Amino acid sequence: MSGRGSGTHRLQEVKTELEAVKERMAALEAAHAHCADRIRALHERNTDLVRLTVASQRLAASVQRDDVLATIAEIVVDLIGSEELAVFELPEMDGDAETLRLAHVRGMTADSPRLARAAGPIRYALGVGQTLVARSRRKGAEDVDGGLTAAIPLKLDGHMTGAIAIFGLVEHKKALTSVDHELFEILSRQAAMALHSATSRSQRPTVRPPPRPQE
Amino acid sequence: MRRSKKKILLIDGSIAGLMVGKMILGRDAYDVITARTGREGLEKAFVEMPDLIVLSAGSALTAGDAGSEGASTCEALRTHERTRATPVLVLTTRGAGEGCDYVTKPVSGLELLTKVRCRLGEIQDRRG
Repeated sequence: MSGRGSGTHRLQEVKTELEAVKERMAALEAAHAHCADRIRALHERNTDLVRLTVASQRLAASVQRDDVLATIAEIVVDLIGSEELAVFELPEMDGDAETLRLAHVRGMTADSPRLARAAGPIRYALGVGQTLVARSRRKGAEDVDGGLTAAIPLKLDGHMTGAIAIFGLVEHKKALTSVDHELFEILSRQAAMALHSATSRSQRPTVRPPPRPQE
Repeated sequence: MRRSKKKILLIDGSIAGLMVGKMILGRDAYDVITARTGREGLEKAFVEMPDLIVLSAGSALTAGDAGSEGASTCEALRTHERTRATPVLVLTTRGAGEGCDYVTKPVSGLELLTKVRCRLGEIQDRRG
């Protein structure tokens, strides 16, 4: 074999090796990207579980009525991502939706016309006993339903006790996620229970010790 | 030699916010201490000398002090000799001013951990 022939052969060998290294590199990069995606997904799931755990634990630990209302607001602001909400209660369990009264409002005033515009969907959610979620944030939605994002009925053992209305979302949050729907479910059941217990406790007459017998 | 855990002070008026931060950071080899008001946070910062302070932008300086929010606490941390050099990461629902390192609420665990590691110099900030 001539020197030139040998050199060409070696060049071909190096090219083949280079191709093999490139393929190996591409495979490693793909594996790395797959692992990174997997780690990201695990972190996201972990964050979701943290949000659900915190919501549940906070509601279970809130005893006073004001604490329960503050906890509902914390869940909506810090875990769901909306700064505007209202909590309504029915004077009687399964009462007429027309009798809903405002118990707490945040991010807007109690006389905000947005609350009045959202009344229809909120009453509807209460009537059907299901959370009502706006499909997307539409332009001009505030003129139609007050910019309502979700209307969550408060349910106590299947009976309606009130509703939570969530308006808009923080600017950087583009849409609701699956864990937000799980949080709605926690609010629907556990917030209803916490509010009912706190209200019953606050209405219970204080038991005083019997007076000491006069000597 | 085993390195001691780095200490993070978390200041947030929301108990839910504190619990989320503690669950995400406490699990990951950090010693997390918490405060519910800026005043309590300042006191803990002076005593505990944390490696990093994570401050919610909505934290009032004192309980019920609605007008004086996270900015006042941040300013107090910046001006005090003992905390001037401590890095501060802001938690906010709206985004923060230019040059301010922040994480938006609702918090993403991965984003918070990444920002914390960056501020603690444990990983490089890829933003250049």
